[in-house]
Amino acid sequence: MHACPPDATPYPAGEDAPMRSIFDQTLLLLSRSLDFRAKRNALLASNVANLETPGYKAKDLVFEEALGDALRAEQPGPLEVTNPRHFDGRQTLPLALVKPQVILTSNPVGNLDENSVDLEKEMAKLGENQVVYQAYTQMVAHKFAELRMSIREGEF
Amino acid sequence: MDLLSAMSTASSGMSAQRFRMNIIAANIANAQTTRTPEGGPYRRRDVIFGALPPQRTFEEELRAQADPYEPLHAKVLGVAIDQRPPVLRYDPSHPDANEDGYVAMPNINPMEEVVNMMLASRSYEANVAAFNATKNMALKALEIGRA
Repeated sequence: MHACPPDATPYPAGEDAPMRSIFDQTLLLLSRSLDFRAKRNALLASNVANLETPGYKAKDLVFEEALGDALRAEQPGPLEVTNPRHFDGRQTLPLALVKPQVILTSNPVGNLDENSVDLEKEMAKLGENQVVYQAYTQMVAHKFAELRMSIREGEF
Repeated sequence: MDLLSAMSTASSGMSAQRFRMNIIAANIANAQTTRTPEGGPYRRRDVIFGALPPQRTFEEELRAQADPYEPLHAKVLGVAIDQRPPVLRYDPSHPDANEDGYVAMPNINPMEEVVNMMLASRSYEANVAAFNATKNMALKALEIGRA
């Protein structure tokens, strides 16, 4: 086996991390999603707090697409690889390295004081974010329940 | 932790709105005040809001440098005195009337104050809602490890 270059991937190619089979991609994806949802919640809270601050621009966090791309990053890229050091032509970051992107929320009905916060929109986003966060926490909990069940040989 | 920082962001919004509410209450209370320490009638006051990064420790500051996204706290930067001239009201019996019988009264429009009060109270509620949303998320996350 060739020595892998010290890249930031948690599981270097060609090397089987022992925990990989238990704590699979799903759990990593869920934990990253939870992280981003929490960050997004902080940004949305800041939008609501600055509802009447002149010149404040509403911000939002986008990450779903980057996470989706990262899921496909495990698949082989378009270029053939005969050596682990080869570049396979993939442009995507692995899941553990995906960064969310901060965007400015557009508000076509601008306020006179250059503030772009739309309270209704922000509250809707807060609610949506909260629900999806709770859904993810339940998925993580179920994941651990599955593990617990198999450790106890089927007894719950 | 992002959830805790979101809670402090929401509370910054709440305290900014509460401060504004105090100022509005002072405006309404002094709608008829003709004598003030600085002389002349009471002048309407207004708060100035600003979006500032939260106060951080050195370690948090270092971490924030690496983190491009930044939730901003709502802060009261100062209190501005309304520069509109006082309203002259004809009331010769008033002790502060000038020789023509006019009294300089504070330029306070109760409607304006009430509208601002409603805005402040709605904004406060919105921040409470944001706070509760964050709190529910944090509580839900605590349930993950529970059997």
